[in-house]
Amino acid sequence: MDILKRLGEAVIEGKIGEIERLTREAIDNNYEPLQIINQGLLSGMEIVGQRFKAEEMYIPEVLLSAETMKKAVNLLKPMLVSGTFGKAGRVAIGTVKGDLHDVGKNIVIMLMEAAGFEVIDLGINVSGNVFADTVREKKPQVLGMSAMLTTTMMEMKNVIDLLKEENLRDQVKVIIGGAPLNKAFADRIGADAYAEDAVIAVDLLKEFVKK
Amino acid sequence: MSKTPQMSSRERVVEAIAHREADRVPIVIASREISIRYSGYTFADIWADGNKYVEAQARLIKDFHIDAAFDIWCTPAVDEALGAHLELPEDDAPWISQPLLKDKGDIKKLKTKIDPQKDGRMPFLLNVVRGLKGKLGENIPICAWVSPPFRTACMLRGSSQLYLDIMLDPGFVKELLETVIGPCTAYGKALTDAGADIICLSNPVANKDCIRYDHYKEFSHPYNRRMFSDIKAHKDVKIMYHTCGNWNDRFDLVTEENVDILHVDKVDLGDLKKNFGSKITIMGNVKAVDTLLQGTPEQVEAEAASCIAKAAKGGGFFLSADCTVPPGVSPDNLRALVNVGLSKGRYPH
Repeated sequence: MDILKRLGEAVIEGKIGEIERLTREAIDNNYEPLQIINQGLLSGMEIVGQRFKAEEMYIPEVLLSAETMKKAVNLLKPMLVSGTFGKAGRVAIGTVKGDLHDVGKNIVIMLMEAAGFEVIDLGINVSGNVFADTVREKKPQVLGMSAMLTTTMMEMKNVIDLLKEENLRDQVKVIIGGAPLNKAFADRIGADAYAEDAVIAVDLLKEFVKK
Repeated sequence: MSKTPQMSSRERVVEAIAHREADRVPIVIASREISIRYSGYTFADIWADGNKYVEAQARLIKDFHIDAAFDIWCTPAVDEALGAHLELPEDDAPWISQPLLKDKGDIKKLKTKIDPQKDGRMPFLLNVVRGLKGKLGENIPICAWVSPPFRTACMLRGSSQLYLDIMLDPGFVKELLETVIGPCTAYGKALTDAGADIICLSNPVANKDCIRYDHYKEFSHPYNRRMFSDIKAHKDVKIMYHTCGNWNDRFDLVTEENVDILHVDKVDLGDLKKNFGSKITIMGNVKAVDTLLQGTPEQVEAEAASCIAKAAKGGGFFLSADCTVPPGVSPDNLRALVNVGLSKGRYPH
């Protein structure tokens, strides 16, 4: 099997102990680092995303695939020409204030990175000011917000209101996600879109960046 | 068939759990946030003075004819007692901001025993349960929360890391579960000693949205089963399990864990009643966000009536929302839910 295909398979199967050896093998076979990432590792992650959506893989398996890929990317990073990775667009994402859930957000990040986006991960319990400062200073095209609690989801509205107050709302598309949310809620608080799952989040991102 | 014209809330709840038809369906809602908001308090107020929480619960129960009280469920209470730092936001639920077990070796530093009368906020939380019992008397059942071992392990380690541990070092995960099951059980028992009638648990990190069936069976199911059995051996109480998220493929396991009441999220109550209704009492499931928070009173009424039609017959049912009632729910919508329970919750015989 072609080494790039084997790299993709290793990501899907979470072969974290073998990925560095396979990556070195690809380098030794004169593949470019970006080619190894895009045609090997990321094509594997894309299948992981599809299997997650189809409930053939669950979070532990997906996280292991992501860790496996990360190990390979870390090996390749020093060889990459600056700016060649993550050039599809820039997105900032975080879990809103008062909410510490990050598993879903982290899966969204993995799939966004797999789709070639530069992702600024703001972490959990992110205040409105941090979201606003990031939009102002880092100028992402899209801002993603996550909330998993019925008690913290209203914080998303506070963030959007703050973006409006600070004249930043028009600079960025806002996508929200999290178990208790729905499209009606997104419309009500003035978000641009609601992402029902991680794969939809990436599709929305691609659509917004294209516009 | 004639029914007792008016039962106490306790009698009504007991009848329902025994799968007998009471005078009407019990109305039981996870009411921490809504009770605090309805009384005009914040979380900071109730942490400063637990009596305010007791008052808030009593007021909600009186004004809305609700059939059970809830304690200040502090799911990370055990984690704090074990050494994790508990964050207490001004007006939000408490949480653990940093996983305590950054390295696997940190497990050696974990206490294996806790004293619920001394450690962390447990003495305060137990006092609130005693306060609820004192204020509401024997007629209102008290529900009190404790975290199950798998969720406690996730909070101590960080969920993402624990999920990776499942894949890379399952032996470590089991060691951690064996370490936390004692403290989780000890706090559950202390809650029953303080007056709790129903011990509540939720395990949103172990549903079908997160882990596969056989992982649940290996890492959550046996520990829950053991913990609930130990609590029930200590005192004659009931166990309520809130199945937050999607649990459709694993109700067979959950209903074998010594659980009495399933507080269900988005699931068809008719199917659940048909498949598991003889084993457990079903509690649910008007949509907390779509309907109670965002809908109209008419929509709440229609959905509540549908829940009753699907699951109330023969007892074994509490009318409720599908999750915690958000603090922003209007009194009109909450009243609409209750009114359906009061008027249409009478058994059709």
